[in-house]
Amino acid sequence: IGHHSTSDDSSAYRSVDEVNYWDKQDHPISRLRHYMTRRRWWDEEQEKAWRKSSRKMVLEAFEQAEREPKPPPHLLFSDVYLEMPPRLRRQREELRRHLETYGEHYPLQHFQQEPQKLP
Amino acid sequence: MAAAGRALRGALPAGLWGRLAPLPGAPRRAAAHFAFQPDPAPSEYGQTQKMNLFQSITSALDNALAKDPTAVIFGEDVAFGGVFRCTVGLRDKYGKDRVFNTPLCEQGIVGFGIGIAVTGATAIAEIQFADYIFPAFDQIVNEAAKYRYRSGDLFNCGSLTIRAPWGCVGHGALYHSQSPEAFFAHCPGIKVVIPRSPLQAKGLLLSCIEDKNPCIFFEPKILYRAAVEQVPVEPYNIPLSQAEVLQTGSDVTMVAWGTQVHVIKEVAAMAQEKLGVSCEVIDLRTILPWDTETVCKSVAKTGRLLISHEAPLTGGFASEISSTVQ
Repeated sequence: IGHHSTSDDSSAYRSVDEVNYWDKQDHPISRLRHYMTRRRWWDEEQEKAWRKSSRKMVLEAFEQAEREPKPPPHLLFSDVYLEMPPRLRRQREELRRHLETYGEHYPLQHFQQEPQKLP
Repeated sequence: MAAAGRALRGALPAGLWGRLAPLPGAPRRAAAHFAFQPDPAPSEYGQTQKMNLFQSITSALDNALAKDPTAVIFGEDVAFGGVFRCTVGLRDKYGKDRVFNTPLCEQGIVGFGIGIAVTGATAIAEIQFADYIFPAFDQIVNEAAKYRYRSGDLFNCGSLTIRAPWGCVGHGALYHSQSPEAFFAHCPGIKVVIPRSPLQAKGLLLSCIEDKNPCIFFEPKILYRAAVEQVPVEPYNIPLSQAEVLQTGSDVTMVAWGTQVHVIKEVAAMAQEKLGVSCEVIDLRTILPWDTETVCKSVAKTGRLLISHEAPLTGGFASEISSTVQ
């Protein structure tokens, strides 16, 4: 439960009491959990275990993603049109040559390597 | 596209960028592709205060609303202070009749602004990102730009100013990074202005607000916090349609606007240091109508011209400048 976005301050148009009501009394996810617990389909043990493994899943995915190199620079020019017009092809080639000469000024190690031959 | 791959921000350790610093003794960058160099504080406008770009905008807007009782500010989210804090405090100070939110409708924001301006009041519209200005394109080109012309000067919407955050910020992707000045350059009847710094922004914005033609004022969002200067507290004007020569040189003229001015200044220093090339650096400031005289005079002297901008290469404003100069 939170504001609409990082540029929103929802206290400007809804009361804290209303937010609390939805958070504490009428939260749909909490209600489902209570229902499942009463039916003995869920319990505190499973809750703990699930939270733990979810957290692990998310953090692992996060770390994996952070380790991934960014897409290679030539992809800047892909999919602008269905077929690449000559002018864009030339610009892509210019960038490739620029990076060959001045690559030291760019953090290229965070990006995938350019293939030898561009499609 | 021009400047491909260069705007990188994010959690890169400072040490990595230190390794990339091209000149010994050159200013150390954080994660941006340039280092902002403040201009010296002016002495002719009275007391100055340390302000970043969004604060200098707030100051200009504050001055404008204080001076001009008909001035109003409107746009998406401006009431609470704006997504970039440019309008913080203004609604409290001037009231909800003068600083107010609009629905999420750029066409409406500009159309409404034109209407206010036609009544004679000063309309200061905000488009939340320049990337979103296109729904208002018809209103700008077909209505605002032609209002005076089509009525033989009987009517006009000259007291309209449209402000929008502009340019790359590193993480903006497709819709928070655009530089659409070239689209508007093709439209007689409006003015297009892009400042490089807080000091420039306040003076240019006040000139746009007071200019009797509809103006579009693009604010480089990457500079909102990063650019800090001593800016006069009182209002002052910087003239429109006047480019500024930031440093004189003899071998090549370099033209840029907005954020790229700071990149070009670094390039000029590198060129001098490593290649012994003397560069003349010009900040164009007003894109439309642009100062052909200053640029051509400079190229007549140096014989060479380099223009650098963030916007796409094909049809970018550099093409207009270079074909005029040729």
